[in-house]
Amino acid sequence: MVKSIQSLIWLVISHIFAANMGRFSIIIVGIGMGLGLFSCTEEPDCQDTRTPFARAQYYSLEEQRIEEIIIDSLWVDGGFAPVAVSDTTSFSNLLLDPDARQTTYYFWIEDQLDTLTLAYNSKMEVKSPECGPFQTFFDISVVSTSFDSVVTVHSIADSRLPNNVEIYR
Amino acid sequence: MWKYIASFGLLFVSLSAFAQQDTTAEQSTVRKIRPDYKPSALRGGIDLYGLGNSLATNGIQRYEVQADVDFHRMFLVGEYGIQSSKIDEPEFNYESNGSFWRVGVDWDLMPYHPENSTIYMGLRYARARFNESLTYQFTDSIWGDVDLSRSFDKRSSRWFEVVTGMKVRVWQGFFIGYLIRYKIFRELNNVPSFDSYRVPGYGLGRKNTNLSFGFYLHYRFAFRYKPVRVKPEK
Repeated sequence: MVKSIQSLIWLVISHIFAANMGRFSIIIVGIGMGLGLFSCTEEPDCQDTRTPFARAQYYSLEEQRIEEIIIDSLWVDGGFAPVAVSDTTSFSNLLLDPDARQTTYYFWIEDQLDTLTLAYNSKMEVKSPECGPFQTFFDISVVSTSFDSVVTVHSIADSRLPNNVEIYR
Repeated sequence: MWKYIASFGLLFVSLSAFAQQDTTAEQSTVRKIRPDYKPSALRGGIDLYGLGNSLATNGIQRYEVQADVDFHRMFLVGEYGIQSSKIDEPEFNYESNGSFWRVGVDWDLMPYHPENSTIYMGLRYARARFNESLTYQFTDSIWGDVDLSRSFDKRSSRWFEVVTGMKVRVWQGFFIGYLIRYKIFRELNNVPSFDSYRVPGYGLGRKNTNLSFGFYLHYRFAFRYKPVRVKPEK
């Protein structure tokens, strides 16, 4: 911000000088202005809040409050490894298949299998050569589930949001 | 955004002041005439700044030409350019190729200059058409080999520009000058699955406004004699 303001002040001063100096000084001033504007270029921040997963919070349907559960294993359709194994938790990060528009999850919880299929859209964005590409998942919704109830609370996968879905069981 | 607007305001004030100073010295040497809206010259130019950048760096190649025709104190301006951008990183590759054009008017703030040098402010309407491609492959412990490469043809964008600059006669019909562009009201026909990174003629697609600079070499082809205007007496 300060750098940008400095550059613009330099630009204005250069313009005034160019207007009052000899005709060939415009070359020098022009180069100076170019350099000044070049320094206006803002470096992008590579830190990003986008996440490659949807966050699911577990709730007790009867008590309507957050529930801590023991997940024997959590698998994702098309995945080469389980997302979670023997985990005592109140939430899970459901990895979204980056090359598909929906992903199905298999939850083994207390010897019972439940499934959940999420649909979503995604888009790619190149932030800068240094930061590289980023993928945003949005329009997250529930397609089908064997849980008692699953509610979508936020449709964008972003770490600033507490949860994407609430799973009631 | 306000800092840019404030800067353009300052520029306008400074340029106007200069335009006033310059004319007083030349006033006695020119004839008093009525406004002449008939064009007298075509001025063509190339952007040396873009050319220099293209030669100095591998990332962005930009070549741009400009032409203007005078109508009294106004210049009708047309610009055309081509641009290609490339990023080669170990993790990904990105390419953008396309062309852009701009049309607009410049208002001469120094209309009494005997050598047709000018300081101006103006407006542009601009459009770009381009193709983009992203090659992005990686291996993930859950998903295995993932290929998120994408290619998009016939993308387009439009925007407006507020410009200011100067063109100074250096020798015979040759002029040099610089131009500062403040690009606003950008619209992109983004496809849902990819946000454009570099838009030819505009810059970074993710930014709603952009500031850029051009340093031009012009040649003025005069096709009829047009006397230099005299500043009306108050």
